[in-house]
Amino acid sequence: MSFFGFDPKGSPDHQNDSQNNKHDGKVDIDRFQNFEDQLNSDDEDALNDETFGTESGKIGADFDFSSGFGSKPASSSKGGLKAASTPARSSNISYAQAAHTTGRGTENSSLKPMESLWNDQNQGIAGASAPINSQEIGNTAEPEKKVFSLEEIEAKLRAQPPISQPQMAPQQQLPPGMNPFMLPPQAQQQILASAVASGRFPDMQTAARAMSQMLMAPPPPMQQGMMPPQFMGFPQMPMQPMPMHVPPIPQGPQLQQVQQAPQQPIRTAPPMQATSQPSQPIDEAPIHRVDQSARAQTAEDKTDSNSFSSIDAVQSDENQSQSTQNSSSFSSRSSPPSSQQQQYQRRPQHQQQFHQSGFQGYRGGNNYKGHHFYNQQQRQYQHQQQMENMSPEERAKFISRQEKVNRITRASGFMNPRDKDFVTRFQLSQIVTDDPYNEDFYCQVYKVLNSSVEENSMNSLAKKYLEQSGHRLGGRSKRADIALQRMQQQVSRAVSVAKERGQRTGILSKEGALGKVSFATGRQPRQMLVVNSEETEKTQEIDDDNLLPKEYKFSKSSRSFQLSIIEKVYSEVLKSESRERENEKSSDADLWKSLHLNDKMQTSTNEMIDPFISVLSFDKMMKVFGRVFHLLTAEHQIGVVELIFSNLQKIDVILKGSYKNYVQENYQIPEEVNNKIGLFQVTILKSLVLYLSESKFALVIHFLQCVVENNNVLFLSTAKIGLSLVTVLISRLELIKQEYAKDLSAQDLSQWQQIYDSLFQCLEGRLVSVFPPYFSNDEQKMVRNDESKGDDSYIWQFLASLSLAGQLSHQRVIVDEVRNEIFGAMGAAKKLKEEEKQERAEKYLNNLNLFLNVMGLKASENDITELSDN
Amino acid sequence: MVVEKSVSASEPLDLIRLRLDEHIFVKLRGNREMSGKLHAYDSHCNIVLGDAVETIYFVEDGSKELKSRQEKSELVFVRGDSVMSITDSTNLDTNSA
Repeated sequence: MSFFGFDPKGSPDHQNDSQNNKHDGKVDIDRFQNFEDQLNSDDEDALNDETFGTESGKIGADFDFSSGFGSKPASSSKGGLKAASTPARSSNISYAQAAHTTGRGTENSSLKPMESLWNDQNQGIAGASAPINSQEIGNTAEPEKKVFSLEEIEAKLRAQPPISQPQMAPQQQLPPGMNPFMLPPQAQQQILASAVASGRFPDMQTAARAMSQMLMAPPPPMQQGMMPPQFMGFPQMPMQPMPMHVPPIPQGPQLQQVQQAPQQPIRTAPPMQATSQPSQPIDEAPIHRVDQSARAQTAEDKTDSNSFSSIDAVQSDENQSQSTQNSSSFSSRSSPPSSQQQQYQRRPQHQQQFHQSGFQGYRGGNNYKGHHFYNQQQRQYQHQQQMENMSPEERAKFISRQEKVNRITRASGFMNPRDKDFVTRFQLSQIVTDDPYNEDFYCQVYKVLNSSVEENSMNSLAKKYLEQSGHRLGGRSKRADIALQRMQQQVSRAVSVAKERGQRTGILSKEGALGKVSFATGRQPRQMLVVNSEETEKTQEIDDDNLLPKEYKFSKSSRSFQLSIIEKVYSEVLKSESRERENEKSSDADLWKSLHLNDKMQTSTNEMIDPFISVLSFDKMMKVFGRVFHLLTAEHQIGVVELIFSNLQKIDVILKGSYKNYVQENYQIPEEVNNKIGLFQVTILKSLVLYLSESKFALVIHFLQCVVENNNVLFLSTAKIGLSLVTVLISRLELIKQEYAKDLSAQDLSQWQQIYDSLFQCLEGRLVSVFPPYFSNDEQKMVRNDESKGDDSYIWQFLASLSLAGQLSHQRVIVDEVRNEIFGAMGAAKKLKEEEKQERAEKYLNNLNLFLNVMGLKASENDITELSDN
Repeated sequence: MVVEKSVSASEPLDLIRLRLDEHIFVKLRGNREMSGKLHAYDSHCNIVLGDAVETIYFVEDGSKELKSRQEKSELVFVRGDSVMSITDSTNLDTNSA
């Protein structure tokens, strides 16, 4: 077995054999690779193109996420098989060897050349604990660990070849006997042989029975290939033994077919089974019989470490030499050819059949189940061997452990590496997108929030995927980085193909076609057709009114029109934000257009109103306002703010927020309106205040002018939002005036004075109206409702800023007008203090003092005093 | 000067999109109705409603009277296959008023 160090070339006997009718193992490996290539060819995998494009035809052959080793398909399949296949390989030899040895009786002469390969330690153990399974040798761990130790061995084995030469087989680098990891299978053989030889088993039959206790009962040859259900860890699949019933499709020379012909009648296959896999084109056996000498040369460098090839090689050897006996057992390269015939005949039939069926099950194509089953059988057999040397407790422990292992691995191996890769590719194609911000927005945001260091996105994607898809990353294998690299390559390839495909489909969509071919993304599963909406949009613009049915048109006054404006704004905002994230230059022209700022519409009461102002009454428009505002150019921002201030009294929250609307309802503002007011405050008002706090003096004056000239200031002052906005404007102006007085021109200041005067004129004499009755403490107009518990500080803030900006004469007017409110507030505070409600009383006084402090006064619950300096 | 230029919906679900974040009224299979704030929807008409009120109509055994009961939920997912119609609940109010 080349894989385990039986270098066929190393044995002179074998070299001679290959001259005759023996196959060189490497030839078969070559064949095997061909076979794998065929398996992985694009013809079989129609969706390869889908994911990686047509250019990457070779992807099928080296698509390997299952392990970090090697780039050859053969090793890829090995990776998937890692745990399962190894015992099978090793114990194969042991059967052959054991049978071989027992056939020779106590004489071990045929194995002697092999003994030179083993070191003293192994031999000592082999001699001491004869019947112990070979897997323990070279690794003196307790029996329970056997399965894993073998895996580790194989992992190490596979780690041996340098990555730069993945095709190098271990046996080529390491001469036989030099690699300690290759020893166990051979040691096993010897042990089993010596077990028989030493008399533990009275004869070969007993030994064979012991070895094959878990295997099938000896069936008549015609049942060959049928798996014994009692040994299955899972329900038997009728398909398992299939491939060996299928007459091999002649790929090799017909000569070999003739040689195999006598076997065919014996393998009577149910016709149903035979036809159920008619498309399995590959049968290994004939391929192996292709003239080997022609290939021998190329085989040298194509050798792969996959052991199946060598097993096949052995098998085909036997098929050739013993085709008439219907025995395809296993031979050792080291055994003299002269003794082979004898061995085969002596070997228990069922063993041979088992091996054959197992391997043919695998060879027959993708039927992995047969192989899987075979592995299970092998493992069970090994466990059986181990158990014989255990104490009852150990055995119970071992059995329960095995049950657990069986439960876990019950369904393992049903998918071959290609299946896994296929699934991987599908999953990959779903998670890959070239437009992550629009398709994976929340994932991207999450990533930004949760990773301080910006990772290579490809790298993290691959890592994430490997972590979550259960592909073994790291752990026992140190090749995680390579798996990662390969994964990255695959991802980037998938991405680029996805991009290309996008362009291609764009080209593909023809004019007049009903739709275009689409491709799937993670968010959008594949559709058969994509109706080309861009085109329809274009035509709509040209011929809007004629093209659309009446019911699709929204009258401008309708709610639907307003809603459609908002949706348009949202889509524009999303587009612009996406461009902003990618640092693309963008204009806000579309967004500006979507705001309908210079449009006019008629309300149901025949009032003219800006659509923009009307949509501000919608919660969702308020919510998006900040984002819209941020995206606009400075010029457009001014336009928006100007429009808002000019139309303040038309804005819903002011129009409906004025207490004057609700005289009949005891001035109770509806909850719905209150909610809107609250929302307006935290959205639009916030944006405006922020904007104004950075605006220039002249601009703020201009806004205030808009307010005063276009609105009924008295009405505005009856609404919380209106009053707040006016307050913001005044206080901002006064702040600039006081802090940057030097920078202001006389013209600015006089304009400010002028506007203040006109504002004051609007309010003079009716200043009390800024107090809603529910906040008023004036005995005559005081009304109490749910609103009364609210915060009235905005009123005092307004009065404060108004007096701050005004002259002494203005302040005197203000104080005079709101005198009742001042004393009312003081009285209320006093009353609350008497009721031991300190907190509320303080609140009253604090709000009052907001206003009074501006004029250098300070109020307590009892009197008003001059504000002292300290 | 009012220019009566209309805005159009290019596909049926756009009509639902317009109702995002608005109160809607949904008629459901099994004699149920629901109203609430539309938080989200998809192409299957699966919808997520906030502050939803579900009205279930039923006729008790032995009586011919149509009765109804209401169930409220803060946030509810409505599977699209039970949705029969979706309308703006403000429209409904004005119609009934």
